[in-house]
Amino acid sequence: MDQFIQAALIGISLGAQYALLALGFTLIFGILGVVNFSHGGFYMLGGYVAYSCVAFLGLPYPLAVLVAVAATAALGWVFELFLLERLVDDHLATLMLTLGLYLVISTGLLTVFGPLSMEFAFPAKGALHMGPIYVPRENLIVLAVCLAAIAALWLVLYRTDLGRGLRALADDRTVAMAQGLRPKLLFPLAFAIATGLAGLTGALVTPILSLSPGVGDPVLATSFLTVILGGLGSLEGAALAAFVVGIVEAFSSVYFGGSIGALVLFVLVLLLLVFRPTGLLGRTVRGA
Amino acid sequence: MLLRIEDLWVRYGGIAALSGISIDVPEGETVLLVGANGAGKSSTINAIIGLVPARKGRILFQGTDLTQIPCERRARLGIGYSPEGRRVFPTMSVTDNVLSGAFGLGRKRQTEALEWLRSVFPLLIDRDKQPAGQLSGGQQQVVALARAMASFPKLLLLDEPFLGLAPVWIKQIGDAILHLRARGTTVLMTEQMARPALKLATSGYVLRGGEIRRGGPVDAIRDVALADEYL
Amino acid sequence: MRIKLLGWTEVAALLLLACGFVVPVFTRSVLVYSVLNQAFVGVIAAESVWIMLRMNLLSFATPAFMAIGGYTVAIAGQYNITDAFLMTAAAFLVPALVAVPLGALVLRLRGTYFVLVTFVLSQIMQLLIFETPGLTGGSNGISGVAAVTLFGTEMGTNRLVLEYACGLAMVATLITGVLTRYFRQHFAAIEENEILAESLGLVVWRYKALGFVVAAGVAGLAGYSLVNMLLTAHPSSFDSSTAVDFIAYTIIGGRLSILGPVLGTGALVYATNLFGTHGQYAQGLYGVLILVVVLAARGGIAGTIAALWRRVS
Ligand SMILES: Nc1ncnc2c1ncn2[C@@H]1O[C@H](COP(=O)(O)OP(=O)(O)O)[C@@H](O)[C@H]1O
Ligand SMILES: [Mg+2]
Repeated sequence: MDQFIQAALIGISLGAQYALLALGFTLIFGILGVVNFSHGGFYMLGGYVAYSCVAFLGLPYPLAVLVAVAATAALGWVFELFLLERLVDDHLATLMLTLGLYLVISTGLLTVFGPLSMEFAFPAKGALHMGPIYVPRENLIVLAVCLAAIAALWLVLYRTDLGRGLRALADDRTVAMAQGLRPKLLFPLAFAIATGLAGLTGALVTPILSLSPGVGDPVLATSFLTVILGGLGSLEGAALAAFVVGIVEAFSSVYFGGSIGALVLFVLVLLLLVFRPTGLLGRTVRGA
Repeated sequence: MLLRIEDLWVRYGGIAALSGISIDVPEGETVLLVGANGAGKSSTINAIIGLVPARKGRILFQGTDLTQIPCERRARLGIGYSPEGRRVFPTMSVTDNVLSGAFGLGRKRQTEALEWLRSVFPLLIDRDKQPAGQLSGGQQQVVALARAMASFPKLLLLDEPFLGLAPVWIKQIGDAILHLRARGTTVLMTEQMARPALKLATSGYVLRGGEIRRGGPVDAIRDVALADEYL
Repeated sequence: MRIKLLGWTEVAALLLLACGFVVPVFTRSVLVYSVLNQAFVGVIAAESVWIMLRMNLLSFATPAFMAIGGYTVAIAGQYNITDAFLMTAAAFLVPALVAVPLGALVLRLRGTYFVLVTFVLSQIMQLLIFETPGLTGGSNGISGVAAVTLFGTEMGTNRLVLEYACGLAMVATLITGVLTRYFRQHFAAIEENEILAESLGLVVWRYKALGFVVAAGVAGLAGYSLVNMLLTAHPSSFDSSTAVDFIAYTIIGGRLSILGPVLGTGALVYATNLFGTHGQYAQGLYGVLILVVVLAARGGIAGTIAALWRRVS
């Protein structure tokens, strides 16, 4: 029983991390129709920027996280505005561009920081004990930030002009433009929000997991998994699916070991993609 | 003259959709463009709002030539646009659809617009949270109309507002257009159905094959417009 | 109308590859052999990507089909089956057969969704290898794969391995070339506008299925060549991230003709080796070149050369 609860708790904190990652990814797909292969790159970049701020500049960790968010958001904004925006309607071209950016980011980090993983530890140590159950404090913090980020993103999308403008552009670009909405102004902002979220995740999670130039690949795979499961482009779906993925992973590693859990999830995702691209929840999504 | 179109040409590939039309829309009036399917009505509207380029000619809005201004900037000058087939934003709520038309005007103006439009179209209150894609055609036309009016435009472009609507809805939309006209809004609307549209307009033009067959006050074009309708 | 089986680009690609047979006359450098071997494997894999790109489909599934081809050969080797012709046929046919039902499943998807599904496929394949240690040796792989025999001769020496890899690359190029040349117009119509092609009466699914199945077979040949070079079938050889390399070879080389994947692979494998032991830095070069090609030189290396040539002449 204790083992069961422990696994569930691990699953929930994994789910929180995955949700943070998946939100940005699904946002870009939902609004711009772009599959962002550089998502894992921004995650790594967030981690390294936060690490550098703490290790070289001596900034307190929370401030370092903010710097990481700002840096990744700024890079995302520039990339969208100057490169992606020119070809935003060509799905293969945008995919290749984000892939190219990912290779550049990861090689850049490799060149600057070397191939070894960094000594980057989460500053809040210790755990909450409740009888035989314990929850590391760092996981609680990540969970709290994740829930706050989901709430903030929801508010931006559904309660502000920017959000309305973005959703209008996603629904019908032509009509939205005829109404005076300017993709050149709004799309870079959406991209920056998404990459900022990836940077936030990196800054928060790499101290818990690990920080090395290879950590972007699995991040991308997990984002795919989560976002397809939740229905590409759907925010609520992605958030929910993230917790499903986290919990499945936690339980399968506790009870089965190995990668059976991941295999099952990927097969499920394959079938979903083919037979029900709207995901588990059946949200409407944009056409490819 | 609020809008003056001079010798406008529009081409798709090699095919001319508009061959040098000239149209005047005086301030405060409702001007009708009638014509059969393919006559060039949408091409005219789209050239004004900037969705298709003008190959030749000028489109003067309050004296500025719109053809020199990119599409996304034209709405800002005070032009509202309700497209053919309505094209509401299907996943967005009715209220968000309307507010999207008032993008960037500030919260105060947006609230003002929403309250005014809700008083004109009570439907916007009843269905406020419903995704617009789930509404009926007539309801969607109301949303599209409200969306176009949300920025308090000087000129309202309506592309076939009656398309595919039941007679009750044609009546309702017609009343709404009359209401806007009474308020002083200038309207340029297109229709295939000449009969109900002629009741709303002050003047009009009959389009056929990308050229103007006749233009003038409603009474002067009525016979040609109705003859065209039965072609 | 006479149907052309090969055009000049295909012939040029074959001639270029045939140079591999001449190399041993000039050098015995192990390094040169190794680079060339890598390039031959890469060319085959890139051609597999290229076939799908002809139909505007970007596939990340190449490593998955390479794995099927590679493991087929490695497992057959355990039963002392080493005949070159038999192995080549098996390395092509087994992945191609697997691709038939898979294609029926995934070819309903277009554009971005197709990309995602192939990405998922290569992830699944990798997990499957780890989860089936009885068949594939799991994370240890299958080592000590027997060398192939051609007409009874064991292809054991470095030189023979190189020549064999060269031959395989030419076979793959021939298959790819004939397929894409023979169905040139069909593929072009699908690439241009699939829905329009369909409405004009082209049975689109038939050509997409054919392309997918042949691309899988060609990828299988790449896996075979790789296993034959390393004499090991190891999961890391078929890592899903290697798909990015093959895509880079194809896009940077140019997607307009078969010379693209050949030139692209040659140039990038060569460049990667210039980085020496720091091969991982080459990825950054790929990244920059991809950005350049997509933004500025749509035709890639082959297309740019062709454009320059037209200007000169
Ligand atoms: N996007 C387009 N591409 C090619 N031809 C078009 C396009 N849009 C309209 N046309 C042609 O231009 C002419 C005028 O069309 P349109 O302005 O839509 O007429 P209306 O709105 O009066 O029905 C028609 O002959 C139509 O076939
Ligand atoms: Mg029309």
